[in-house]
Amino acid sequence: MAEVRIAAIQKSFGDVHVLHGIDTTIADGEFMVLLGPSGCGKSTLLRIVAGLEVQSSGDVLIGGRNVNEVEPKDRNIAMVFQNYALYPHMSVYDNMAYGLRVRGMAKGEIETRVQKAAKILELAPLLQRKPRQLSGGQRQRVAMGRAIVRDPQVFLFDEPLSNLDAKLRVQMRIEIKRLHQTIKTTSIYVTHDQVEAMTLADRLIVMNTGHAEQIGSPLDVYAKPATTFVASFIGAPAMNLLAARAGGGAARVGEASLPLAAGVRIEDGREIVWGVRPEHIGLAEGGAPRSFDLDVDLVEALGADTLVHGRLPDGAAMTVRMPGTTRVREGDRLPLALSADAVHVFDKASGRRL
Amino acid sequence: MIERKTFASTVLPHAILWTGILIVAFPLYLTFVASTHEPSVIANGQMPIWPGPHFLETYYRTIFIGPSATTRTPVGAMLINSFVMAIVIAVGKISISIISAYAVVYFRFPLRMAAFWIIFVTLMLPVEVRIYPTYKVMADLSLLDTYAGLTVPLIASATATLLFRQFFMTIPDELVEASKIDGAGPIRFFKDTVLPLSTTNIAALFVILFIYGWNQYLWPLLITTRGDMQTIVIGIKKMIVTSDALTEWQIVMATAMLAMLPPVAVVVLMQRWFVKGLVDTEK
Repeated sequence: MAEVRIAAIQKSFGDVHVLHGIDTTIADGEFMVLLGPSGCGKSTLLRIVAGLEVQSSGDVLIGGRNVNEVEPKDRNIAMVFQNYALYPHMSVYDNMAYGLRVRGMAKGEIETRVQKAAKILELAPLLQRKPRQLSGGQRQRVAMGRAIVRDPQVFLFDEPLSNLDAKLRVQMRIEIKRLHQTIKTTSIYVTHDQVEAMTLADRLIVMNTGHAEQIGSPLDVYAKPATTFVASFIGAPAMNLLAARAGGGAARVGEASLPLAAGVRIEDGREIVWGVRPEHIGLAEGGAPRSFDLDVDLVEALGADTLVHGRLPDGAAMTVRMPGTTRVREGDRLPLALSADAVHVFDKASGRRL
Repeated sequence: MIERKTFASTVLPHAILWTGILIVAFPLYLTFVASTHEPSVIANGQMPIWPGPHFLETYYRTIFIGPSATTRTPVGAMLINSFVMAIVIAVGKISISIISAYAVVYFRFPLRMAAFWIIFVTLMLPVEVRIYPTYKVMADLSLLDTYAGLTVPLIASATATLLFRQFFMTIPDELVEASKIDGAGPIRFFKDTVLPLSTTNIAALFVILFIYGWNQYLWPLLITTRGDMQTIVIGIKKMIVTSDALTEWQIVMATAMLAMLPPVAVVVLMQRWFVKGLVDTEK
């Protein structure tokens, strides 16, 4: 177990800059998720920590030791790959034992460790099988087993669940979470799936085009997105973001006047992006003041929730999430209410939260 | 596939197959028949259709004594020469090309692509094209009439290198990375992962290259002059005399039969691996 420090990591492939200086410290035992769309540099960052790529500048410290010049095998890390990367010609047992054998560990010790990992991951009956005789979920467990037996200081996960079907993914997500609670090894987990990120992470780094847009706990990132990118990336359906202009203590979107976030002072006339999550808008009924009207043009009934897509009178699109019991039809005009606490305001030019 | 069985769909394919088998097998059968008769029976031009009584006698003479009139080398010795040549060529080609393909695919060294293209270009230079310089080199090294002379010039192989390169490129990068993290260096990765994954490829190549080596004609013809260094393919040719003496056709035919056996045996024995290679495609 160890703390991982990532200091001013930059990476370029020729003229292409993929990472523009990432700085963070992952505490001992913490589960850190790198979240971002494909091509944002999150896998590159993970591979730099693993030592599979070399950073253009910056330092990686594992447990206080600078590992810039250290080979992957000597960094005391274990990695789980997206396509499992099991040795196809070796049995499950040998796949898990291989790393220990290469390191010259005694046979008895290997046996104990593999059996222990197999027990944790419920692989004991499969130890003599070859990878091709296993299902996707079982292979993924073997890949994790291979990481566990090494008892490394850091686990690195590179989109480990993206090759699994939806149901299995949910199940494996819970298993990974449980595993982390049991063995408490510092973990870095790369994913583009925000649900995985939200459920697994102690903290997450939201990345975009080589920048860390925001670093924080999942709920912080949800409640206070630092940029419009984070706001639109976290949460499903995505946050409604409207181009607006500040005026008279409100946000003006065409004709409509929308409340500004509580406690935010913005000079009149400034270009802003006004945002609110679909789940924070409700019907204006029972005395709640009406904030704006929505002309409904599409309704998605999901059972528990109903997603209502519509337009403000001047044409700006907005999505509202309502309880599944709400009866709404295309063509309705809904009076909607929202509280100023739920409003997010961003600077238009920089995309930063105001 | 579900099909209604009709006369045409059951009998016709078999008829075609049997015709094909007959066309391929009949000359072989005739060779065998000829090897069991007296030379005079064959020489008079009326080839019998059934095997004759001299099977043991002819094959004994062929293997251990050789034709009395011409080469005088027992075919057993030629078989050993051919066998050594084919094995050395096949094993040599496979070992050298698998190592060079490994270097080209997994290492970044200066002139890597240049090295690859130089290997590639040798595809255009088979022995037939470079025969004079190669012969000169072998002669200057005093390798005429030696196993080294027979095999070394045929060992360098662009085809096998290419084949292994293509195969290595299908091994996922993650496997290399997983090995790196597991602590395996380049040699361990080669030994523990690349080699076991290549077995079916190696087996398939071995069959092809063994037969390639076995069937070599031009090069052994040039490089060997002594009777005891002769390969069986050359031996057959030398047994057929064109003038004066009588060709001992029963021995020629027996030699031809014997020359066919090892390649057939290799194919039959290795077939299991081919099937395995076709079935386990997953990496």
